[in-house]
Amino acid sequence: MDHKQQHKRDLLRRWISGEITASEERELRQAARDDALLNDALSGYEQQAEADHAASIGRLRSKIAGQRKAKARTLPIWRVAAAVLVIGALGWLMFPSASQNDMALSEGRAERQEKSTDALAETRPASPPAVPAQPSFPALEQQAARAERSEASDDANFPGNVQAQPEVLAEADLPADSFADVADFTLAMESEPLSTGADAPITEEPSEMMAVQDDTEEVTAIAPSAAPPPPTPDIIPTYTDGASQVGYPNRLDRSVTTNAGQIIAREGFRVIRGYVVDSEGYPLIGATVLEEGTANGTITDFDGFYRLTIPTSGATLSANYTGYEDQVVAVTADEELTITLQEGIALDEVVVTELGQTRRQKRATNAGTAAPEGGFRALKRYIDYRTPVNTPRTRIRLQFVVDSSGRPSNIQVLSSSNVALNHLAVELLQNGPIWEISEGDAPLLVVYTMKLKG
Amino acid sequence: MFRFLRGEKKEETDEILLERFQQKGEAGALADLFDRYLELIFGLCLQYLKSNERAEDASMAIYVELQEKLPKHEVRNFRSWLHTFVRNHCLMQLRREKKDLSVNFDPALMHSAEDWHPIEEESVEDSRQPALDYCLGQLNEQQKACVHLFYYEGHSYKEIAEQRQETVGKVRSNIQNGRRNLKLCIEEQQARNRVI
Repeated sequence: MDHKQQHKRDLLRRWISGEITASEERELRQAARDDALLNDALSGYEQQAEADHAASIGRLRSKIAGQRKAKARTLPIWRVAAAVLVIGALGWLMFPSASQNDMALSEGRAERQEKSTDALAETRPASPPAVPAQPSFPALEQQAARAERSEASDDANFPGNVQAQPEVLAEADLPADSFADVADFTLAMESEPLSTGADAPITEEPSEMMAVQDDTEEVTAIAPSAAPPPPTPDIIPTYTDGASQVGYPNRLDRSVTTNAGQIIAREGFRVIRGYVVDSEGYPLIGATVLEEGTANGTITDFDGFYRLTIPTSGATLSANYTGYEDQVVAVTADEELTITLQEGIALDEVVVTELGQTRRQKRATNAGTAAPEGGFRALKRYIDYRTPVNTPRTRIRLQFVVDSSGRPSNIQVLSSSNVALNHLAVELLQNGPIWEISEGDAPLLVVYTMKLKG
Repeated sequence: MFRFLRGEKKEETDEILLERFQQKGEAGALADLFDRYLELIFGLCLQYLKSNERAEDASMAIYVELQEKLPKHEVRNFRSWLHTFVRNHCLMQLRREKKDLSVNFDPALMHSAEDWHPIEEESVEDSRQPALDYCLGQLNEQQKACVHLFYYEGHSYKEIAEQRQETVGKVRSNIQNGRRNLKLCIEEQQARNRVI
């Protein structure tokens, strides 16, 4: 299968470069019959038969190679930094008593020097076998072996550094615990960056860096199990592409949730959308669209656009808008449904009900309400008529009882903005229109605010 | 370090490259994958955009877009996914440019319509030979020469181009047009023979 694809690719490349012969071309065309992508591509080329496709392809290849190189160039810095850190940590781990016991140090160094020559013989020309052999080591030995190997090669390259590094780090101010943590962490990710770190000085030219990168990628592919703790393969990409690595676990989570979400949303329901317009096609803003017989509905936006989730089958939509006739529409299989409303119900009067009234009515519901004969307007007229000129504007809140006789009794002043006029207010109430109780004969306690003005 | 492995490296499957890019963020894996499909992507762009410059730009744009979008998509079959992706990209571009969408799916250019090679050993039956000879004579000089060199003498486009001091594109065009003319001519001849 893959081989076949590769063969087709070769044929196409030869066709583009012009190296193709008649029999090969026939083969290519036959292949294109079963391969939509190849077929489309081929007819694309044939439509521009005279153009120099080979040059276009060449330009594209070099552009991509350029991008790739630019990316690859930034990597070694990170790797070298990581390698230095790891070497330092290992050095500290291996020679914790360096400052106290010089004998041990020099012994250790001698040992290392010995190994370094061995390891180097392996690392330099025939280095590759070292890692494939790794899986056979027990985990700990493996780390140690690699550590030694890398240090060995490091030593070989920078002989002057040998003494300085472990000692400096041993004397470092860092608390021992935290440093050990760092060491553990770096140990976990040690295999790849370390080997490149050791490799980096060997690399002769910058152009070789890409090759180095490829090598390490292959290491990962070959021996992912070689690294004892699981993080190893995951950590490497941090150096190649930090952003995508960070996003990776989230992406998984998200894909899981969205998948589940979609399934739920789609089961038995679908989304319908469209516009509500008037007979001239103008959008109706804020028109109500309801699934008939349910409370499932929405209103249109500034473009008259609505979107509503409805059951897959058997739904009807009703649309209404002030000043237009209601419209009920059966939903078809279409995803879009534009509803046209006819201008119909002409309104010559709009009744706006005072909101506060509800509250007042509620309080009186037990025993009905009381109102002056001829309504509050009549009472007000009477009050205005009887108020002397020059009376300042005053509000007086009165409480009184209305019984079946209709005469207010037990009049009390609850509050007053001008005490001097309290007497007048009470007198006006007593002599004014009689009060009527809407329901029953039981006496009612009434609170009335009288407004006086001259 | 492991350079020796690269020489004998077997070509990895699309799935492995895709996984390496999606799971580990290896930009190199995507570059390899893109390189693998470059000819097809470019050809498909050409089909929609009708010029090499625009198709080149679109191919690069697709490469960039793949870097962003591919990690977010679950791709089962990369080949067909890519086909759709490239097509949508081109259609979107055309829509943005407000050009009318006329994609030429001329059956004469569609290989799926009928595979027609006029000059093949098995296909040249006796009955068609005279018609073929006649029609070859009807072609213009350039087409005739190119068709002859390609089909009868087994030269490649490149060799013909060198021989005739022309570009490969010109030769390819000549052969393509010559083949189409031959096909039309022979069909016409056969129809006439049948009537007679």
